[in-house]
Amino acid sequence: MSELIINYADSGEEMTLNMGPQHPSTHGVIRFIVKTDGEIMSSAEPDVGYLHRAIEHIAEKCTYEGFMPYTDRVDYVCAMTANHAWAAAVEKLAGLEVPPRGEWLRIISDELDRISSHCIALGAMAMDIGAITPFPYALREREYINDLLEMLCGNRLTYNYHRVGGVGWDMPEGWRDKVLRFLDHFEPTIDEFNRLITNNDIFVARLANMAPITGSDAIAYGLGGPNLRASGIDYDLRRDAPYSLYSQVKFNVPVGSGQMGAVGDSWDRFWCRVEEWRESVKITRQALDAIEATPKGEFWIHPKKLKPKGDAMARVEAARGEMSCYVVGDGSANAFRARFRTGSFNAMQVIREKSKGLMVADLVALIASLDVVAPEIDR
Amino acid sequence: MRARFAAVTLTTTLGLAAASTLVGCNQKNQDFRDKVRDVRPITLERHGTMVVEAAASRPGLEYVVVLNGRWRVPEKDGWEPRKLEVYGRGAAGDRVLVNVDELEERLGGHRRFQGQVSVELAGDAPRKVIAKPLYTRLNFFPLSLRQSAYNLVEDGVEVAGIRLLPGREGKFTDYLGARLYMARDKQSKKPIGITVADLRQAFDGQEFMGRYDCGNYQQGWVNDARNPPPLPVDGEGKPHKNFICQGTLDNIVAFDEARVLGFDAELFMKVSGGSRYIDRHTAEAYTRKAGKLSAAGLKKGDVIVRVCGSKPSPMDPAVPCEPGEGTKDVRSVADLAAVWRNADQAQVYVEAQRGAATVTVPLGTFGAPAELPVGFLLAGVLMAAGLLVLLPVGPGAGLIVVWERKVAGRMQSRFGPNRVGPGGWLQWLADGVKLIVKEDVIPTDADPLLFRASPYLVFMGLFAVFVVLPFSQSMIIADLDIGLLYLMSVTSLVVVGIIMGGWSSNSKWSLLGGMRSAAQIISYELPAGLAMLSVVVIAGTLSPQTLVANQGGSPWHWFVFDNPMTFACFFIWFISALAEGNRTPFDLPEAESELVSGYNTEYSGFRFSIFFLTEWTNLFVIGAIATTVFFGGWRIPGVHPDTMETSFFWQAAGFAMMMFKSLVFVFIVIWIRWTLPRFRVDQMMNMCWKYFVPITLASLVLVAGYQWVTPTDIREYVRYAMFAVFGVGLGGFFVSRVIFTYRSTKKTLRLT
Repeated sequence: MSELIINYADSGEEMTLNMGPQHPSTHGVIRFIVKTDGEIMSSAEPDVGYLHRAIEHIAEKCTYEGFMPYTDRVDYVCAMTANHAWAAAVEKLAGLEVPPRGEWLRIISDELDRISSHCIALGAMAMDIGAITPFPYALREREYINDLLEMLCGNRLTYNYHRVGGVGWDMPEGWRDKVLRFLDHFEPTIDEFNRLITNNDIFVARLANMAPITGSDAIAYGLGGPNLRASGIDYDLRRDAPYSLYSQVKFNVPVGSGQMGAVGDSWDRFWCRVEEWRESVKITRQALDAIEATPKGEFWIHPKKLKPKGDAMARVEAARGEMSCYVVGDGSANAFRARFRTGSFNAMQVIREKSKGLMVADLVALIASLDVVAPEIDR
Repeated sequence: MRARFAAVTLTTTLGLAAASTLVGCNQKNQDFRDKVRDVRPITLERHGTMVVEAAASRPGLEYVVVLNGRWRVPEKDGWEPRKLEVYGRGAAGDRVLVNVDELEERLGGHRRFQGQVSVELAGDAPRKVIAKPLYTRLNFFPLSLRQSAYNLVEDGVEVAGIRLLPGREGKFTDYLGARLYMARDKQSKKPIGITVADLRQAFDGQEFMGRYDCGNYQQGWVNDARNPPPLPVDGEGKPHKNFICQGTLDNIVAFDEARVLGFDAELFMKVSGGSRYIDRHTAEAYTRKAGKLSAAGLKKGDVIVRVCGSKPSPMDPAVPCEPGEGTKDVRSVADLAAVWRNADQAQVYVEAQRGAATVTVPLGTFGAPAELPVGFLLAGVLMAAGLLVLLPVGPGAGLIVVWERKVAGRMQSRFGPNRVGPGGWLQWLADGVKLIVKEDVIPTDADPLLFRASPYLVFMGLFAVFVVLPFSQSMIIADLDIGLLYLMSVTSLVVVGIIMGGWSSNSKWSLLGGMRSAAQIISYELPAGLAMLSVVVIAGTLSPQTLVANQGGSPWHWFVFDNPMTFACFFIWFISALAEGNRTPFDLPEAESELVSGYNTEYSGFRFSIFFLTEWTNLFVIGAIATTVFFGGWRIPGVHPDTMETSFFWQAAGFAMMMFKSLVFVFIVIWIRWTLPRFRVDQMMNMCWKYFVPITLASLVLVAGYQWVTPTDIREYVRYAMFAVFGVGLGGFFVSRVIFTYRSTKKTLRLT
């Protein structure tokens, strides 16, 4: 970092603007060293590491099951998929089976949490552009999901729901109906949200053609999830490398097509997440249908002795792109090494390249459109 | 450069030398004024200068001012006699200046003085007295404002110049130009009136000497007094008044010559200073105007017995000043003063006894003498005006804040403030108190002066607008002829304040906010001004009241529906007003997601609250201007302004109408804020310069042509058509969209 500061210390014409780590729209403790000439930036250097908690090291010190609550903290906005990634990796390492009811509950909880995560992403993005009203609307819907997940596992943010070999609890009585009622309520709300902000002229003018990321760039930078798909790459782990029981559900993969400007611009990234809401609703409905056929109570096969040896990697489609978890076991109760690959970290490096020539206001929109979350970057 | 400087210096020096020579010449002949003429100011404060007016003093010389009389000692609560001598310095204009601080050391604090003030030439005793004593009352170093105000009132007010207060009889009053004595009945010794003495008569030196000049006619006869030429005479055989040539022409007029032609002996003696000759120099130096009493026609020796008005008491309200029943005898100078005070701006008639006859002399509208210094009055008036504006506006802005938060709450499916006061409507009070008691932090590296000054400018710029807002037909502080221009100019102060705040904070975020607002507000002043100009072309006036009066009460007679151009202009003006007021979608200067809080990031406490207050006051100002210029102001459909003018009810209704329309616009502005995202800085500038400015310019030309070419009745039909299409049609479509969106909103879901 010191080199960075010395390099940019005084070039005379430009102003160095220190954006963050405390700034209203850096979505957590992220810092950017911005060089501006008036409003136009010549560069924005991301400076990560303010939220590093050595989670991967903690994994080596806990038992496989004991590490599960920590995975919530890898990405606290969408904790379920991080749970899922760890559980799937350990199961793969130990060669465990998960009962179908457990798998369906995992899918339902993943998708509900994906909706909740996109609520935050889209609401905050609209707020960063200056429209404040979409945010409370998005949060209102997220509250319903928080209520539902609380009924399921007792927590509202860090769920600790998935287990090695299944999930922690079966769904309570009447929960399925409540989820269905919520989905019936939520689907038309998406149209309402589109009317409010997605197709707003000012909003489109701000985001269309802003920092477009081409497909090849997106692949080169290792983007994942909605950020990748917005750039026109039709790739979704749930469909293309199915895990859990995703192979049994039917859904579309929304791909950015440059409706309002260039392919892969910020508006496409926003739109992709809006469409993923619809797809998540579809998946949840199918899972809620399928779970009726599975016997009640068979949601978790408790592993008797968990001392696996070897290595395994599981890949999960998280809200912020592909989350993969690599575990090496040495035959003891703890993992020898654990590694999380997260979407936000890769997204951060795009900002350095794409911010050149943008305006300060655009930087905020770019950060928001990539949906980076500080804990996921640093872990 | 140097040569020029030398020339200037030389000229100045020579001029000064010449001037002092002239003054010196005059001095010789001005010994008739060998008395102290005035001592001022009456109230002397620390570090002040006492000015003693003595005609014989000369600039640069040292004098001793002698204060001989009694001094009031507050500690003893009594008076003690004392003679004080202080050094003074002669100054131009026949004045001796005394540094008061030196006196203070010797007096040791607050003293009041009554007695004689004289001036002597500094030097060894016995000193030469150059100005004889004048009785004066002085007030040294008053400890409080109240004390000085009290003494000012008691001793007569310098500003007005009148000293017609009790106990001041017999003193020559500069204001009236006479000396007034109490006249007493010879037998009963009761006061019967006021005797006028020492009238100050007009004396025009040039005219006086001119009467003794004989011009070309006298050529050749200059020194032959034994054989004078025949005098030109008028019809009655008397010497022609414009051609009096008696005596010698040596530029000197003797006492006897003047007496023969009826010149006032007393005045002659005064001008000549006791000698029996007046030369040209003296005459011209003594030129003066007549006193007010003299100009009115009073003569020396007149006894004023009556002054119009009934009871001459300062406690009485002003009474109509007409001679007639109820008049009372005037027995003292105080009576005269009281009547004068009460008869402000009215004719004051004086009944005076002149010998055996009684004459009535109108004293004219001299205006009543003020009882308090003008500064006090001005301060009072300003304070009253300030309170008048601030008292309703502060809470008004506060209520708009609460309203906005409540509306925002409803729009975002939450409640908004509902804790403080009934329904949360006193939230503004709690917030205001909180802000006021907070610490007023000024960042270490900030420019403290500019940082402090910035909120004042913002505040002034916006609140000055209230001067020209027509709240109803009669409720306007000042209906300026240049109202709209005034409005545009004072609002420009706001941007100065914002730039100052942004710059002086020494924070990069503040600076960016300040820069943005400079670009934004200055740019959008153009389309806003041009859009209003289109209306001005139609109305033919810049005065807000006339603008309103020129519109009709019915919607189709509002300027917004006058023709398609004004309709477009309204929207451009409205958007520009949002931009000028830093409101969404133009809230770039304080974009909280980008610039933390923009130009006011570093402000806290009361200074921040002023930014806050002006921002919400601006909402109302936007609404009020929109209503005034485009939406018919206080006009009520079907009611003629003449009808409204005479009726309190219609005035109140007009006020209600104006407020209603303005508040509708306030609601629309709030609505927009909680709906739309924010523009980027380049988009905002593009919109202004690429679209708004050309459109408004074109509209100005089109409107002018339209007014010129189209007959009046066609214009009337266009108004109806405009209202039908845009008012009913477009408005109806908008309302239907709102209803559709409202209906399609999902109701709250209850899961738990």
